[in-house]
Amino acid sequence: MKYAGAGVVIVAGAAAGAYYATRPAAPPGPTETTAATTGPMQNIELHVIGEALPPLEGLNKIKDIYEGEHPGVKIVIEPYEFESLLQKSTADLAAGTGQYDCVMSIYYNLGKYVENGWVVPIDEFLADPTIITPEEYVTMTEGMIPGALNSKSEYHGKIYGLPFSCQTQFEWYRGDMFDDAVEKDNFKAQYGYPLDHCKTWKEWRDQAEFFTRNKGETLMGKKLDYDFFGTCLQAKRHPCTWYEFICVFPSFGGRLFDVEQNIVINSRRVADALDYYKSLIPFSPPGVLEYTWDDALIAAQQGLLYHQILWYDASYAVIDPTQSKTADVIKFHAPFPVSDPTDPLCKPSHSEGGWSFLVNAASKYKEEACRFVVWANKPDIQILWARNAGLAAQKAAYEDPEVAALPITQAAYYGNLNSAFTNFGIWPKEPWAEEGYDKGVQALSNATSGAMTTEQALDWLADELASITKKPVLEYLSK
Amino acid sequence: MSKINWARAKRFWTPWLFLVPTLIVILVLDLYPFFTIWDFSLRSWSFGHPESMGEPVGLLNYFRMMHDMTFWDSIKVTLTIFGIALPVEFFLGFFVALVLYHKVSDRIRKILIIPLLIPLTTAPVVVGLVFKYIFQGDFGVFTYYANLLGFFREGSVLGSPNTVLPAVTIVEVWHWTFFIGLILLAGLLALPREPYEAAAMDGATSWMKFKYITFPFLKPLMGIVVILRAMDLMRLFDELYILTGGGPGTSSESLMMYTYRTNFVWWDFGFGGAVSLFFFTIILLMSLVFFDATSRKD
Repeated sequence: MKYAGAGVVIVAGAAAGAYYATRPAAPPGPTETTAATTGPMQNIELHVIGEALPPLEGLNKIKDIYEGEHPGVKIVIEPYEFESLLQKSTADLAAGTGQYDCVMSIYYNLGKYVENGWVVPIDEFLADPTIITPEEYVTMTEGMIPGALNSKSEYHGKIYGLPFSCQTQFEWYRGDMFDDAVEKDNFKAQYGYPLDHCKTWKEWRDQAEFFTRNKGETLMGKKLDYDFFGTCLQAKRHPCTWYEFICVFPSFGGRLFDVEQNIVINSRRVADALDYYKSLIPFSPPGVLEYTWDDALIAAQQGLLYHQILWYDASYAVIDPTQSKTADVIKFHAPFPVSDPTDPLCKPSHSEGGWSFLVNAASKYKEEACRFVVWANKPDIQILWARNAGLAAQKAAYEDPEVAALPITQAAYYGNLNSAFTNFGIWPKEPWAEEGYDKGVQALSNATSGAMTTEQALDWLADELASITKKPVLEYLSK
Repeated sequence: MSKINWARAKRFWTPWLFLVPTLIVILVLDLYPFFTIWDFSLRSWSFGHPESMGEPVGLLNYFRMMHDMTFWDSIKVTLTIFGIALPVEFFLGFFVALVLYHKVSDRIRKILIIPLLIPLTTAPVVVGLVFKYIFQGDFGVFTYYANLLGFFREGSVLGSPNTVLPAVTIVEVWHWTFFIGLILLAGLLALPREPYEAAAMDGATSWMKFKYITFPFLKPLMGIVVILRAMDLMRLFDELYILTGGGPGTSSESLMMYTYRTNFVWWDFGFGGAVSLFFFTIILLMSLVFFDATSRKD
């Protein structure tokens, strides 16, 4: 035993020595050129990782077209829930293992992936006529929804990948209640103006209040045997809540940064927006502080509420009669209202989320992966994909008669994605964006749960963003 | 030239050779990662700031941790759950063990143990999911009966900062109480009979037998089981992640969840490394204190 101490020292020293001998180096910077020619494709599997929702399921349905056109190539699609997807894809990209060839990335992570050298710019591959000709590329990019390419694929002047999906949120509402004559009369009697699509957020809350009924009360002439709610927030401490809030605060005139790049997320305007957001909680189901977008979708499918903010991709699940009790009566509307229509700073906003379709820099089949990404964005494929619940980047897809006939298309495309107003709902794409977003979620959750006041929560968020971005905070609300 | 004493060398090196496989495992899986994290904690190592990746920053990550309100909130949450769940689990588990030992026949005991094992054999993620639906604010079983009594009509157990920790503690107590009970029951069953017979002949009461025989014999085992549960509670993650995700706000974010968030949501391994090392130090100190206390001879 007297040599035990020496043994411990020897082992610890060996460990330290081994560590310093093999210490991981800092990852390389942005990849300048990563074009790789892999020769003729023979029995390769392209692994695609994405979010487990209808658009990815739609891609899974049409991938056999690509496989038919490219013998020897098999597309393997791996669907994951949102947060799992972010972690798995980031872990694979950071480790350089190349497990996934094509990565579906939330748009605000683009900067992080580029700056860390994890994804390839597709310029060199676009010069390959077997992938796409210059004319086809121009046609493709000019045919995209305004801003789709820039918001999801462009970073500091270069294009990385192409859009995977053009996401947006819009109003889901019960068309049967909206059109009910008795409810319309009662609404006008109570609020002094007719029941119509909301122009202001006050009208939104009025409708939420009006349609919140207890079990035993009457709705559309029938006695309710369950509580019915006017709205439903996605207020869990989860990315969903910040996405929802992005639909609100810019239309109060709030911003993340001002033109001089001061942090103004804790301005009075944003605080008013947050107070408004909190005021909708009493008209939401009691468990709303635990609700993510999945729970909000279920509430809509079960017919528990009148109107809410929810996602384009989830809307396919509410119009499917095999999944939803309200498939025949649910309707959609965009754009969202504003706080004050007379205020020029108050413009309609929607959280234009959306996913980039990127090529992993560690992929062994970069060229083929890029070929697949480009193929998925070609207008004819986009039309097919849109018919299978894809959220197309190509305008032609929405103008296809079958897609145009979907009840969702009017709101998603004509209301939001292709509309004339400027969208303020984009979160920055800088490398720090994911951490900043998580802190936004924390601040919102602190405010909605009552753990902090609105002012405290927003001031805290401003300080955290200042620490991350090194930008100054313009002023404080609670200090 | 002195003759090499092969027999002596063999006696010295043979035990070490048997230890080599284990030492390699410890080296690779414990010590190497430990030095990696330690090194990261002294550098800027964040995917969100690749421009400064790898730059030495001294103790900056530790200072940042000390000034982070969320870090202190997570310690408060962890200590709250720890401070309530551990004593409740211990005394309840011990009580169950004593009842099963003293009041129940051997045959009945073997039957009763089976349902008591169900929580132990259920994976933490499954426990979290089941209780998430029990406490769900709209259709949960707990919520239904609470509503009948006039509670939680406007909110939900897991949606309120005031009730989320008690709810989480209930889940923990349900899940792990019989872990303590089972180990202490095994200890009780292994106790020798002779001291009790001698004490009975001397006229000792039940309390005296417990105080002077049962408790001293069980003390080392109690120490071990308390250490194990204490470390588990400090590392609480699975059930919390499923039940609440750390919300609402940060009212149920444990130190382990905070460590996870800094490393795998923010991808800031420098700052996350500092938090991880702090966490490791706490667990190490706790273990040393408990081992010292339980190995002291009375």
